[in-house]
Amino acid sequence: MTPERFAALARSYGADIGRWPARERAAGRTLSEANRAAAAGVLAQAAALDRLLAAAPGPAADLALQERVFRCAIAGRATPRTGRWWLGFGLGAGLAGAAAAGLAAGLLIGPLALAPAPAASGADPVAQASNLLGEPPDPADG
Amino acid sequence: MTAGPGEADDELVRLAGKGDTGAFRSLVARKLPRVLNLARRMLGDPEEAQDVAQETFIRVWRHAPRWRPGRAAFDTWLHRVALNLCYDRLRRRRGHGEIAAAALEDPGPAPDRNLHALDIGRRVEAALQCLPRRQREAIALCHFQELGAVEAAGLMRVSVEALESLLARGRRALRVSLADLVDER
Repeated sequence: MTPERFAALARSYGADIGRWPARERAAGRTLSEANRAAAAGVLAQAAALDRLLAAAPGPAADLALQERVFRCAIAGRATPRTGRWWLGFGLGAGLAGAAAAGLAAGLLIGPLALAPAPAASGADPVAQASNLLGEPPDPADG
Repeated sequence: MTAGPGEADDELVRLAGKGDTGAFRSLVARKLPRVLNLARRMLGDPEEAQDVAQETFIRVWRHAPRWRPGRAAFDTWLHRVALNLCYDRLRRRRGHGEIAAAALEDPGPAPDRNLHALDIGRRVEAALQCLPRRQREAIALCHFQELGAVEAAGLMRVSVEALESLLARGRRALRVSLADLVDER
């Protein structure tokens, strides 16, 4: 491995050689041992960004969320988020008012209450995943 | 001999496919953090990330009876489904001219270096959301999801060389936008 390739790998994958492509790890470690000072400089620069990325931890999947996701999946449809309960309440109140006014709310409430959540737009993500035919990369992006 | 993570996934999916809700509950507990994390990095919005997680597991439950171990790792398939759902949302967002919530909340460079960890995390998250989508995706898959280069490149349908280029450009852009926080000691 050349020092240039070593530096390129650190720029892409970070300072932890264990996260580099498997076929290049051994050569990377050998070069790191053979050129300690130079390698340490390269890795220190990459490690600084690694530390910042580590400071942005992922969201917590708490038990309540786990339960909600589980129940939604079994039911086969997404449920409103907790923070949106008032939207459902507002819709329900409006429909109830319409019913009291003698409109045919009964015909509306059933289908609205039972309608499945709208599917994501575009093709079925599962079919895309199965066929490995998902959206191609946008060449103008990135 | 203990089953590896992939084999344990396959067994849970197999049982879930037979209607075993206990196995499916275990699968949700095991995989939800990864799906949620990926969607959060891709979308920058915690509530949208939860929506994507819900939609992903609806599809897992629905398709579990047809899952065939050996064709692909379940974890890879799960990432593919979640990524496609994220793409859908990003496409709709682009159509509406919306910007990720986290990007809007970017607090900008710190006036001093005494930022709390929470503030640093927000700055990093906002900087990630400002990256072009493909660079953000590469960093999400390789750094946060800890996928190997071959697997991440396969999910993104690019060569490993192209993945490395996206990673390098993404990391360079992050270094620039977070320059006041980078400490190379």
